[in-house]
Amino acid sequence: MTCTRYLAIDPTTAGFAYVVFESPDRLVDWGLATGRSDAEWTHRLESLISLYAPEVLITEDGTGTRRGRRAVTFLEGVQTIALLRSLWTVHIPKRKVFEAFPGAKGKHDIAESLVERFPELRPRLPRKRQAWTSEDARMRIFDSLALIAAHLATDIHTS
Amino acid sequence: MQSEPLQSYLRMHRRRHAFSQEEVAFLIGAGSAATIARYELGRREPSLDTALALEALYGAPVAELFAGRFNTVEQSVVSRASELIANVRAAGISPAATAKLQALGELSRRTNLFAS
Repeated sequence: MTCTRYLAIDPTTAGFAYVVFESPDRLVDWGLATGRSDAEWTHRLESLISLYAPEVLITEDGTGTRRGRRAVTFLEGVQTIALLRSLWTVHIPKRKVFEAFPGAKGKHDIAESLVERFPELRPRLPRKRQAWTSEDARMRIFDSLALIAAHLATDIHTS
Repeated sequence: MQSEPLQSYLRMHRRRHAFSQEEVAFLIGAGSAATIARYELGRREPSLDTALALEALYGAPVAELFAGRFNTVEQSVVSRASELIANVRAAGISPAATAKLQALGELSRRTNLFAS
């Protein structure tokens, strides 16, 4: 029995969110990894790669987005690790994520739709964000899973 | 692109049920949360009783909980089975030989790893 295993990661303000997924429909692991320094999150990411031996690493396509400098640096670091580990990397533009969830008006709608498909994520679903509140870091877990869903729904360039 | 199954899917099943490692340790009568962590990371192998307790707890067969390990063991059995088939055939036809070949044929169909 074989499958394709994906690791999707998305930077947060204090580390990164990750989702490990096996095709066609198995959510293996998910969570938030925090690190105070680049060395800490690098170690955490390397541990995840060693534990789950993913075939494909998926991140958001950061070009042309309003992501902060830390997130951009993080994504560049991830790219380097993927190259060193000979992982296939896929970069998904945000536009493709919304295309994979037709009718979704925002990230929370996408998260709700993912919870319906994977009820085990319900405890991690944050309340809908208000305009005056900052985003809950847990939402990045859903963003990561949405990247995988978008990749599986569409054929995106792979490097 | 194909990956081999993970050695263990214990963590996935535990998180699906929203149990903590401490709760699982209590439920299956294992030492502590650290013991469960070692099982999940593949640093320690559970005893047969513990493996069966995990099956009872998660409602998934041991072969699924330890899919990677099961694949390895299954391949060893299959490779020995092909040797046994040759030996049984060489010994000649008998009712026992027919029953054995039938059982090994079923193993072959289940695993699809060798032709009977």
